[in-house]
Amino acid sequence: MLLILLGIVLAISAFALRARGWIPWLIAAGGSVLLAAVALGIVLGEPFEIMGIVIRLEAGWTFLGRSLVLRPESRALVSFVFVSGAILLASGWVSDAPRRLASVGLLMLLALAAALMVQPFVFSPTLIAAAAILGCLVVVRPDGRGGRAPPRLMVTYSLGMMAILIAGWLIEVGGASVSPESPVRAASVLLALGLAILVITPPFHTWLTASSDEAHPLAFVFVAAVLQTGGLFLLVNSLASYAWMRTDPLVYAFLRGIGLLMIGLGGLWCLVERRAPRLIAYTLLVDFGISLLALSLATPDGSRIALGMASIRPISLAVWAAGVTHLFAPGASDSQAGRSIRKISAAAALLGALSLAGFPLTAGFHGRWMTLGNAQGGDVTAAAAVVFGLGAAWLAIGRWARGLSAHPSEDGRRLGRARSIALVVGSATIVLLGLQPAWLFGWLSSALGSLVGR
Amino acid sequence: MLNLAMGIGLVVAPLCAAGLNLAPTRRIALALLLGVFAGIGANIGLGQQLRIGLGLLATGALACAILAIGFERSGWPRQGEGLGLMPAGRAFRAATVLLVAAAAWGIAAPYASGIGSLPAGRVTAAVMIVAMGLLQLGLSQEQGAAALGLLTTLAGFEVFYTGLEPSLALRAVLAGIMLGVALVSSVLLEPATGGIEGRRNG
Repeated sequence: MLLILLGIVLAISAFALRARGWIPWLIAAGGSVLLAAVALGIVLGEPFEIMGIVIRLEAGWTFLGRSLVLRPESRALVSFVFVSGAILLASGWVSDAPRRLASVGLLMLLALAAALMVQPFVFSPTLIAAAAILGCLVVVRPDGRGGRAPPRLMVTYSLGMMAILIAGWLIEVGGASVSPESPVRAASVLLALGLAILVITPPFHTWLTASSDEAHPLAFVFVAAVLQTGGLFLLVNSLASYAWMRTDPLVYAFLRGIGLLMIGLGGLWCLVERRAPRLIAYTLLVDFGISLLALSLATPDGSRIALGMASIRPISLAVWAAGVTHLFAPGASDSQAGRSIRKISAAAALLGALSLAGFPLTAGFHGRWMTLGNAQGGDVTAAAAVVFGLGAAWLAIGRWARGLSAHPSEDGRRLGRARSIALVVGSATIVLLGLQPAWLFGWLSSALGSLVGR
Repeated sequence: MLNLAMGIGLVVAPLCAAGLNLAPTRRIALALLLGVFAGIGANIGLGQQLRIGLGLLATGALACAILAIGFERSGWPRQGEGLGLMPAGRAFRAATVLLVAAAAWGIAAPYASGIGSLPAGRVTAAVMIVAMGLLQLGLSQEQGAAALGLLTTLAGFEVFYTGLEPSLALRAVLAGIMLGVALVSSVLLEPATGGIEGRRNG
């Protein structure tokens, strides 16, 4: 309850102060870090003292007979959601994102955190759908009006929620499982459909491409990364919670199938696409696909790789969005081809995109390398798909970079010192995590060990 | 008498949902959407739990009121106006409504009596309302039409799901989702010239 109340107060504050330059972003990003710290470090169930006042906080909050419980094993996941969001929200100020993203983004993170805490688990998809509906407010056109993306996002996630709720009822109440012997195969079909929607599998990805066309780059990547993480965590949590699910080979075959589909289609679309934001949307699909492929390995290592990739994604996307927003210097030329680009922004955008595509020496490479290493044993199809996905994304981003190099450039002084420093720090983080991947993946092993080890 | 009222509710709701696809103006569409919620509210309220039925009716009325504010701000656009215009005349839409209704009936009727403890008529009505909502979603991707279609689909889902899982907490969450859809759509229906971002960034 403390988390939810604190989050709502922070979101209201960010909304109230939305016209005050960097302050709403500080509230949103700083607030997310604070919420992450509270989720991870707060003492629950035992009395403790603050300024002479003895306080005892309970792990659960019951509402209408259902509970939000901060279980020990979900603490790290809830914290992870807030930290991922904080990285993207911090980029909001650098990338001049729509100001409502600060407050709406914080509310989306709260909804996803609630989805991880809610008991029984069947309520999770409703809260993820609520986060998606909130996301519709930010994937809008620059004039604030909705285009194709909001209705698509709203409809897709609502349909996914309905499918999972029915499947949940069939599984929990009807006693069905997804095993071939089960009399109720409808449960498996509905569950597969719902999960495919939540992890943004084609053809349920059309809102992603529409928002890449219409929305601000950061709004588009924030909604995509946060919602996909919500879907992924629902999947990981389901695997950890239901023994029948994690022991059923059909479940892993399904994950492998949608992973391969995402990599294959994402890779093909990368090869034919020329527009930069769409390119990132398709590279994201490849990235999501590889993380699902890692999860389908059915080992703790696979879960660790998938969660590691989910943790690096916000960094890559935040740096790309911040760079690409300030890519072109204003007023140099009316035509797109003759416009000057800022070197520092171009470098940041390129590094972010390369990291997302898993280029060597960037933060995103290690997850791909480990997936490839794990798949090499006997799964030639998976290895070939990863290589194809990587190659297609690298080629497409290389083509985009070559296009950028044809523009005249300027040094980026007009960008401002603070924003330039932020871009350099973001880019340096990508390179540093590329050189020292063990820092992040090692931390993940200890922080999320209880979840990935099951 | 009670059974008659419940039966009328089950007939009125799918008919209103079908009418939504043919409504010439948004005002009529909103009245029909309210008819969908009134029909399912009456059926569930009288047949299952009165408070759930009343809750659904209240949710529908609130959602319609919120959407009405959005439509008012955007000057009450007519059916098919705006983004995602489809070459769908009324005769074409009437034909599609008939086809989809027949298909939904054909799919639902053979299995309707085998799902949980739900009456067969209720399952058939739920499937038809969902089908009509999905049809509305398929015919246009304009925000207003999408909101009407999605709310219809969610209403149909409620007819079905309330019978399976009558938990009050789940009703509250789903009502929140419906109101969220209406609220967000209403905000996004605002005209571009007076858009929120425009004012704030200006």
